[in-house]
Amino acid sequence: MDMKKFLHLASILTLMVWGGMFLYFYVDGRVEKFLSPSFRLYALLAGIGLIILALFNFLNRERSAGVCNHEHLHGDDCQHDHHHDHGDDHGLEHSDAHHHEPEHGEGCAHDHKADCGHDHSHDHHPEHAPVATVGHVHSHDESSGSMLFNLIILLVPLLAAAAYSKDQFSSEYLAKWGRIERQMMQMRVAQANQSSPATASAKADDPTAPLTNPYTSDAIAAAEAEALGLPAPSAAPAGSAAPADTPPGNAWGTFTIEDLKKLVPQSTSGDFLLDVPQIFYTAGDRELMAVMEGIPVETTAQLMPETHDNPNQTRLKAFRLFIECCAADARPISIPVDFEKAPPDYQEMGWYRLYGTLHFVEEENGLVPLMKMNRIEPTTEPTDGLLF
Amino acid sequence: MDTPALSPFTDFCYLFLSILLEGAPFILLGTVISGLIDAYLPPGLIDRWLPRNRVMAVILSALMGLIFPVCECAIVPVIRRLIRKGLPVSCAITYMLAAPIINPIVVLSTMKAFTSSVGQFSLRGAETVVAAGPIYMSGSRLLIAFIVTVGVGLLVLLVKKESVLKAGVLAGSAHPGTFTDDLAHTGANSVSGGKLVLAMRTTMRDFVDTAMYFSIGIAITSVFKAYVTQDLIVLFNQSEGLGIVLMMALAFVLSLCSTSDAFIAANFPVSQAAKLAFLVYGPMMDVKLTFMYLSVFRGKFVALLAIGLFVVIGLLSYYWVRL
Repeated sequence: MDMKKFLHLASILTLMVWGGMFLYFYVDGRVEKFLSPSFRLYALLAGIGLIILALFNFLNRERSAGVCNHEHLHGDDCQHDHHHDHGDDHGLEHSDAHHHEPEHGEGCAHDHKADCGHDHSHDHHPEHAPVATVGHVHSHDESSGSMLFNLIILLVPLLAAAAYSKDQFSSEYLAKWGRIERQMMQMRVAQANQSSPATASAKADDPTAPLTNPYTSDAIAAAEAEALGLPAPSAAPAGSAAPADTPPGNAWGTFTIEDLKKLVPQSTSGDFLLDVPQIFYTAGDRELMAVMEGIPVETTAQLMPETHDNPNQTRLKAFRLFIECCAADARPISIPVDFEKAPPDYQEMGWYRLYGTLHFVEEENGLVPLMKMNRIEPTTEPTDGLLF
Repeated sequence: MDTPALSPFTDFCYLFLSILLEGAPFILLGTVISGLIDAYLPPGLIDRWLPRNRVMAVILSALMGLIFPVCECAIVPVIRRLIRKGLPVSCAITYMLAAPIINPIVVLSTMKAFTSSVGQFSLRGAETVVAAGPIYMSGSRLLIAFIVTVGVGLLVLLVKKESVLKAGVLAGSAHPGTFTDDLAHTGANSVSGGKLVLAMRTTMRDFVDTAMYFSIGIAITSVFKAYVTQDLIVLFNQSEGLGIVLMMALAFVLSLCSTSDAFIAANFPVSQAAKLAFLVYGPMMDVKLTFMYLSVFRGKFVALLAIGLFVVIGLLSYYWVRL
């Protein structure tokens, strides 16, 4: 078997490996650790598509036998005629099958004999100037080497990554990117307090004004209108209670514990059942914070050391991973959990059910929601361990 | 539960695979389209469709993504084939840069990101983070992308395509539109199903080419995310100008998909200008795209494009929010 046929078959094999890998990840369920649900179907289709593509090319390999898989590097200065007749068995192999004339320039580095059996995948202008100057490269060796390199790059990292991936992040990675999430939240809250739109800022200097949510769609619309130079849309007066038929987020006005009970389920013992990201994104909403300060909370999360803002070494970090599309954009959303003494023994990255009370504290770097812990219980990873 | 031995290397493997699993289906889609174009699109047809006025053709190319939405992973093999089929390089580059942004899917995802990026966690269904709303951010993103991509297209009109295209791509585009369909595919047509064979073979070859560059790009991105110590966030807000520069650098390194990058940008505590720069620059130029572009364009052109886009998008974003 010559190199060209070998590379053609190697390309087919590479597609088979890729397709097989996609199918394996999907069928095995590993894909759930990598992709959000909306992307998983694409992975399945890609696996099927790659296998079909490989099989099709394999079954038709005789019609494409000897494909050299390279581009013929003709420049604009390719000033010679490529017109010679190929053998009968050659027509199909030329993807842009055409007739070459025999007047190759002196420097044309390969023999265009009838059984050359490779793909001349380029469009030839029928009016090449018949000048002997040859400004192109016909190097099979170079193209074969390049093709081999491509295939190695396609196979080695994929197979190595599939073999060595643990389908989860290390604590170092989560600590690094989790800290950034925390910092971003704190800076965001600080920014919102400084230049929050519409309703909140309008009342910021009035200590008697009721706390209002600065992040409602009204506030956003007002900011948008301001940015566009349009008149501000009419909004419910700050502080007024939302009409009964107003959907959440439009005009909350004063928010009460009764409102919270309507929104958040409670356990039999009265703990509010909240996810870590729900707690995390409460920070900055002054109405919510006012109501939720001190409430009993139960949540399920993974635990790891709290490496920042842990002055007395009494804290751990409870986190959940939130993924938009794939694990590469995973955001570790975390809150500190404070035991007010040395934390109990625990397994790093293990799953726990956490019981405590919720508080909002000003730390050195800004506002942070925090749970003061009553107890923790080890548990198994929930079915929605990754949040999408 | 025993925790497996985890390390930056296992993080790298996890990151690499996740981006590959997310992006490769779209590369396959792009290369299938590329193969079909190669087999079935007659050379010269594009030329007949395009407006004779080259400026109008470039402007039209910037808007083609609205009709033919293609993400940045899929578009490179597509435009490579379109160039070989006679699409003017200026139009191809404009379409390549614009389509990942100026398309309905990305418009919707940007709107969603700036209205409810973490909405599912918001107890009251209200947004938590944005200072400007979805219409402003989506509109600004579209407008700046349009201006920039048309500008690039018009500039490319002024230069020889030899200085833009790699030799292998140039060969196919050197004489567009003069070959008849029959001549171009005589061999393929001579056997039943020959065009399909041609299309599938082209698809395979383009996939191998494009996915190779894609693999290198996402490997670099994964190395960055896994190994680089991230303690830079404070820098992002030291000044607006620095924030813009860093956000574009981040977009370059992270190599996010244009359908999801707005979700990241929306939550970054940086100025609107920096978010805009991130959203416009990233889909046009990032690590994986740089390597994929090298399968079509000369290295010098890719470098100039990266630097030029960086400067122009940064400046436009900075001044746009002040208008």
